[in-house]
Formats: sequence, structure tokens, C-alpha cells
Amino acid sequence: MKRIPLLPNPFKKVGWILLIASILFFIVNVAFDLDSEMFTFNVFSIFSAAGLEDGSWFTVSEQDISYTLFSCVLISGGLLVIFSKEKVEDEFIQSIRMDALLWSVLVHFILLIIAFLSVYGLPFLSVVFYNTYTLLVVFILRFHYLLYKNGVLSNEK
Amino acid sequence: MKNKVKVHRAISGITQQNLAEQIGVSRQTINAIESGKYVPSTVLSLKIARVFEKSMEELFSLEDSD
Repeated sequence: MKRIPLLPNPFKKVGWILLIASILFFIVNVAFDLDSEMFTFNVFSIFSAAGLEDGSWFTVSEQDISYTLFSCVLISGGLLVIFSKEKVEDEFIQSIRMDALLWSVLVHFILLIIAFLSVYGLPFLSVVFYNTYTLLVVFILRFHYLLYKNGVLSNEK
Repeated sequence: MKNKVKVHRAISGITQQNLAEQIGVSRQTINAIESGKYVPSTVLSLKIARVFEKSMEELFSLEDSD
């Protein structure tokens, strides 16, 4: 059966490194409250607005890119982990992949519904921002839990 | 679905690892099939049957719950 082609196994390591690096960056950034000047650069944007003003199209402006950096590295790392082959990639692993995918979609949207029902106003935006990553996180957790349970990670059983 | 992979593997004196290599899957997949945790695809079942030189019906059979 034809499926989405996956990347070779070594890309998974690269993914883990990016994933861990981005999380460490986020923790350090929050814990030490790093000066946002450090991450302020002139960047191109298709659309940008400061606060509640109208905003403008296709401009270059000074922006704090720490979240941009964190998000892009985290997402690329997560995607590399998810879309790299296991050492022996077979249909059993594919079925585990499918299981993890269904779980992550389910958890993601259940959390979104809970957020819609229980958080109002501006904080809703940050809840949605963090919920973006539940797809990646739940997939990775569920996938590796099942690999571990079936002895694929430890090469046991 | 029930299967007799473990029995036929024992009769032929093949290890899980050996069978896995012959049909291009991981040993854990053979283990999951033998313990009934994973139902192999038709293609994989045919490959297993070919290793043991048996028909698929000799290796795999339906259960009442199927």
C-alpha cells in the first residue's frame, strides 16, 4: 500500500536535537526573563499589527522574534521526529503511527473545545497558541509509549 | 483472528529474528503477531505462509468474534 514517504531514520536524531533545543530555549527565556531586545530584529511580514491598531500589509518592521524562533524550531523538530522512519519501518509500526495520529487529533480538539467553553478574552489566544503543540506532543508521547510497550525501543520481547 | 505462526516456527526451528529478517519486518512485529496483538496485512500473511510453505488457511483462521 502506498503511504506518505517518510524520511530516513537519522533525521529522527536531528529532530530530537531541535525539539530539545527549542524547549530549553523556551525554559531559559521564561525562567531568566531574557531581554526581548536580544531577539528584536527587522523582519518582513505579510501582515502585522501592534496591539489593536489596524495593522499593515507587506512591511518590514522591528519585531521580537523569540516566539517565532521557538515555534519554528519546535515544529520542525517535532515534524522530523514524527516523519522519520524507525530503524525497521514495517506495517506494525505504521499501525502504531496511525493509532498515535488518531489520539493526537482527538486530544487536540477536545482540549480546544474545553478552551472554547472555559476561557474567554485575550487569554484564549495564548491557550490556542499552546494547544497548537498538543498535536505534536501527544503524537510523540503516544507513539513512543506504544513503541516502548511493544519492545521496539528497548529491542526486547 | 487466530494464528499458528508460533507453532509452525517451532516446527521449522526458525527464530523470531530469523523469520523477521526473511519477510522484512522487525522481530517485535513477529512477536506482536504471535501474541495476537497485531493482525498482519494480506501481503505480510502471504509472505509468512511462503516461508513455511503452507497455505494461509493453515496458519491463520477466523475466530467467532471476527
